Order: sequence, then structure tokens, then C-alpha cells
Amino acid sequence: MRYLATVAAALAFAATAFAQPNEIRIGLLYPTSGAAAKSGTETLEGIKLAYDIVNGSYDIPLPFAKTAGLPNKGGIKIRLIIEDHGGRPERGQAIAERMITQEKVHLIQGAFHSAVAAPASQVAEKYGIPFVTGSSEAPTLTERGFKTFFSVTPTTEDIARDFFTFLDDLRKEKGVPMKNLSVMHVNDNWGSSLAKAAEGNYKKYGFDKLTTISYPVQTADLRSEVLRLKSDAPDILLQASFDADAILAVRTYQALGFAPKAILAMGASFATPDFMKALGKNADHAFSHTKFDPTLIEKRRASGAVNKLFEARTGRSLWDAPAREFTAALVIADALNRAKSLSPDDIIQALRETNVDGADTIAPYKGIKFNEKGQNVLATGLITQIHDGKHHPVWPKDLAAKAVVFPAPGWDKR
Amino acid sequence: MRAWLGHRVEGLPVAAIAALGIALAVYPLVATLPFWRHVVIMSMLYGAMGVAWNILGGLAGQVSFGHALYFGVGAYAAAYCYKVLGLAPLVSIPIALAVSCVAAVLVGLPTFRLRGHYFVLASVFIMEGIHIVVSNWDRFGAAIGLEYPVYKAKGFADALWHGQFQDKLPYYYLAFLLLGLALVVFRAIQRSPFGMFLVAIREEQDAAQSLGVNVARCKLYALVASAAITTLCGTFYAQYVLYVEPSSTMSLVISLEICFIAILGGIGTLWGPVLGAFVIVPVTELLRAYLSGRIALDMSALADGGIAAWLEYYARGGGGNLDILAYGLMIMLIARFQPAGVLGFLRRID
Repeated sequence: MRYLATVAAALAFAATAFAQPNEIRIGLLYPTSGAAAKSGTETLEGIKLAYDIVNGSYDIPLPFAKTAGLPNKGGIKIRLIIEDHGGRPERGQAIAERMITQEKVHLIQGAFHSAVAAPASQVAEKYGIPFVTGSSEAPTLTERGFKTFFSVTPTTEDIARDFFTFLDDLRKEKGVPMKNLSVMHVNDNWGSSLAKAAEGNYKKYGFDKLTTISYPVQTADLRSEVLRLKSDAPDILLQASFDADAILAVRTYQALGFAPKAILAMGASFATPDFMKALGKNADHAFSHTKFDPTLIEKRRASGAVNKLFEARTGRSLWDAPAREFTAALVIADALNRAKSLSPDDIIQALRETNVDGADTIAPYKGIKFNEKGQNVLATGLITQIHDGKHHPVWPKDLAAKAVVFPAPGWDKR
Repeated sequence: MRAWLGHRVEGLPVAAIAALGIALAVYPLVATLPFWRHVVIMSMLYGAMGVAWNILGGLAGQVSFGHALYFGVGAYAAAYCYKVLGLAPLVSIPIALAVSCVAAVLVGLPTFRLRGHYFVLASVFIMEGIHIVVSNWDRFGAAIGLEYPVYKAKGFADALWHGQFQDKLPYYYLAFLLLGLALVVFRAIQRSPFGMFLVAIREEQDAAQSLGVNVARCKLYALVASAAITTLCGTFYAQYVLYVEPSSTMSLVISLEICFIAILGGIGTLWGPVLGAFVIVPVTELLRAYLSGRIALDMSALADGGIAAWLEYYARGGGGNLDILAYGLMIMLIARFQPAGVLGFLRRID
């Protein structure tokens, strides 16, 4: 009975919350069910934290933290309308349309899955409502040239550019020749976009051979793929894998004696605690491209405090996707604060004029500035390398915490 | 006239069918918000697919867990023809139907000669196989999929030719037509000698065969009819969402959703899948829209708050999956108390 009373009280609370007039409404479109449920939920927590910081008063060195609400707008608060799309494009599209027409949102933030961001932002473009993503990284999203779409995150194209620039730096610094490149990727749109980006860039960065090998999602065996890799004998391997297959892949590399000079992984799977625990010494020297790292705490003054708040909410440290969407949320708050009015056109104009310094974020980005297609041109990531079971930023130089080990020693010399 | 109106089509008087049809046709004129139209569009789409699945699964008793293959063929044919070849949907529909017929024959021809569960297995494996091929095939956008270029039509005829409408209303009536078509085809098959052969096969295959029914061929025809309607639904989906990708068009999840609709609504009946769709789809959509996370709450209260904290978290929609819990509960209740489907329940009240 007490539970029933709690439920009733909560529902009553919910009912009154809808009636608030003077507020800015932001629609959040993220997966809390389906294959990405866990990551999606944590990402959502990162975003909620960002807007809580904007709405409340916190002693954190971030813009909008100390003041409650948006200062230029008389302390107006932001209300979030959250809905789960479960990774389904048609749902994302319907939700975006419902949020715009019924909830009258001023702006939509989404969507984790690029496959959902694509149709959902189509709807936003139709209605002229701004759509901001902090985590959907398919380059096709901004290539459409929408007027309402803004991507704060680096795209896979940018990630590949980071990898290649880093490799180029290494080549010059260490004098090690690198000619032959392979890409090993899980076969979903995220993984294939890395292969695509590599195809478009490898020649420009001094490689003459590229092989791409893909494997199905949730595979249990990678031997035939690794044998192909071994026969190709690339100098460098770029990889896009999820947590379990990243571990399986490295185990298979070691078992079959495939040892490239460096493995560069997109995403956080090569830097998770599980990865290092499962592989021990064999995890060492792998590189990951990420957009957040706890060591940034020394370089980005607000990171430590934000990380603590995030840990208090979720019991986990801040990681890539929540940190990126957190950053996007603050970009949105900044644009809303500067916008002449809360009409969609003024918000879009304000977003277009965004110019945030990297030091005012918790991300490794140089800053946030959108080009005419709405892509953040200052979005660079961070490359980390594992040493003795811990990962350390090694690139870009100004955020580096340790020297690079390259080429990686063979499996038997660790 | 009165006698005709009182005539019953599978228990439902013609007058009632006409009234329901008119109500459905008038609905979007009353419900002008896109979301409310969308809910019914998806209900009609899934209803049509449930009815199509039922030709094979309900009448002939051949359970297919691979119907998303035909849905995906329709969706991909439309998207590829439009985006890459520049062909209008009216041109791509025959292409889609031809491809889907070939796919159905390839699935059915070898497996329908066998007994038992081979068809079920083959339907899943072939769908998954094609799913993997499409996910790797750059021509079809591989795992990234194909996104339509948005076309701003000049006038209604132009929009119809391009199959892209700014408003949901034309989509609504196209889905309405699809559902009508599926029902008419199902009914026609059900009442024909062919339909009786199918039922005979379902009830006792040996007896049917000994009476001269060509079992393999009948099953195959049923599969082709069923696949064709599902393919039409797929082309509609592609034109509606303007984006296709492998995992939301030809995966096991979609296949299961299609047969759930028919099974929970009432397998082998004319109205069952429609009823199933109109219960399951709106319930899912509404639960998600209003319970999946409307208000921002953090998870920290859950750590030491016990069940009360969880309930409050869910009641406030704090990003929890209450919608999915409720959906699961609904399925369990139907399965436990009403194995004959929702239709069986209504019949009992009657």
C-alpha cells in the first residue's frame, strides 16, 4: 500500500511538472532499451548531469555552473523530455516528430545511434527545429548539409584523420617505415564507417596498401579473419570492436602470432578495465581513440568535479559517450543563453555562432566551432596507449601524459 | 440490403466492418497530430504484415520466423531503386515483388518437401544470411544503410510519383489500403479451394496428400502470396521512414514482431492479426512515449532506496524501461489466460 501511495505521489508530481510555463524544453532521444541500453542510459545520465549543473548552482569551473538557470535569460530553467528509441530508426523519427509537435521542444539532442539520428534529424529539418548530437559520429550526418543539424562530436572521418596524423607524427619522429595498413572492424554502421574513412585517406598519408576485414556482431571466433590479417602482414592495424570481441581479437592475435607494429582502436573497448584485466600484459601498447580520459582531469580543470558527480549518480567513472554528450549539452546551453530569442531560427543562429574554448569543456576538443554544414571543426580526440595495465594519453602533444612506445614489442617479449 | 448488412464475415457483421472501416478512414481527420496518426499507421502496417504472415502461418500452419526477409527486400528495393537508380516507387514495386517471389521460392522449394521444423529453421537461416550479405555489400550502403534524398514535391501527383509526402495523411491512407488489400487477399484465399487445401495440410498433412493435394506446391503458393504482401509493406516502410538499414528491416526482431502480432491476436483467423496489431502497437508506442523517461531523475536514489525508490523512479519515468516491463507483462497475461489470442477473449465475452 505504501508503494501505491509512493506511485500516486510520483504521478501527481509528474502531472504538476508538466504545467510549468516559463522554461526551455529540450527533447532527449537516447536508447535505454535494446542492444545499447546500458551505454545509452549512462549517456543519458551524463546529459542530465550537465543540465542539472546549468539549472542549479554548483561550484565547478564551468560556464553556467555557478548561476542557477541561464543568466542572460533571467535564470530560465531547462526542462528535459526524455524518450527511449531502442536503436530503431522509425521510432526515433516518430519520437522526434512527437516531441516537436506535442511537447513543443525548442531543441532536440540525440541520438547515440547514427542510424536513428539520420531519420530523426530529417524530421527536425522539416520543422526547422535544431538537432544537436554529441555522440552520433557517422560523417554522412553532416554531409547532408542540413540547416538545423549540429554535430559537436568528431565524426569517424575526424577520428581517422586523428589516427593518420598521429601515425604521420610517429613516422617522422621514430623513422619507422609504414606502408601497409589493415582495418579490422565489427560489421555495423559504426565499424564500417572507420573502414570507409580509412579508404578515403590512406594514400594521402603515405600508405600504399589497405585491406579491410570485417566480422559479424557477436562473433565467437575470429581465427579465419586473423589468418587473413597475418597473411596481409600490415604494419599498422586500425580496429573497431566492441568489448567482448576486442578481447577475443587480441587473444587470437597472440595465439596465431599476428603482431603489427601498432594497433589503433576506435572507441573505448581497448581501454576498458575488463580489457586490461582479461589480457594482462598482452593489453599493453594498444592505442585507443577516445574523447574522454580521467587523466584529462589535470588538463581540463572541471573534469575532476564532473567525474565525481557522475560517479555519485551511476557508480561508474565518466567515459567517452557520456562525456561527449555532456559537452554537447553545455554547448546547447551556451547557444540558448546567447540566442536573441527562443525562436528556432535565433537558436540556430546562436548555434552557428558558437565559439567555445576547449579549456571550458571536459572534452579533449580544441574547441567548438561549427562549419556551414554544422560539423564542429575543432573536434579532435585523444589517443591513449596502455602501459602496465593503465592507459595514458599520448596524443595530441599538449594533452600527452607519457611517451609513446612504438613499434610494439612482439607477444613473447612482454 | 438489411440481410446483407447482417451477414457476418468470420463473426463480424458487415455493418460493423463498414463502421470500423469508416471510423478508421475518418480518424486522421480528427487526430491531426502526427504522433497519433503515426501510431495508427504503424498499427495498420503491422496489421497488414500480421495478416500476410497468417496466410502461411495460420492457414497452412507453416511458422515462418524469417518474414523480415521479405519486408527487407521491399524496403531495400524501394530505397535502392529511388536513391541509386532514380526510379519512382511505382516502378520499383514490381521489381521488389519479383525479387521477393524469387526469395520465397528459394526458401520454400527445398524446405516444403521436408517435414517438421525444417521450414522454420530455413526461414531464419536464409534471412540471417541475406542480412549478413546486405550488411557487407557497399552497393546497398552496407551496414550504414541507405538514406533517401529528401524531395520537395510540387503538387500531390509529383509527391505520389516520388512516394514522399510532407504530411502524414497520404501515408495514412496508403497504409489503410495496404491493410485492406491484405484482408481481401486473406479472405479470398481462406474461402477458395486453395485455402481449404492449406487448412487440410495444417490439420493433417498425410490425409491431405492422400486425397491428392500437392502439399509442397500449396505451401509454396501460400508463402509467395504472404511474402508479396509483406514486401509491399516493406516498400511502404522505406518511403515512410526514408531510411533503411539492415538491423531494422531484415533482422530476427522484426520477424518475431510480425508473428507475435498474428499469434497474440489470434492465429488462423481473419481479424486476429488486425486486432493484435491494434492492441500491441499502440500499447508499445504509448507506453514508450509516456513512460520510457519523461522526467529527468538521477539513478543515485536507487542505490539504497529499496523497492520504493525503484517504483518511484519508474513512476516518474526516470529513463527506466517501464514500458518494456509492461509490454512483457501484457504478453505473459495474454499467453497465460488467452492462448487463442485477444480475439478468443472477445469471442468468449460475446
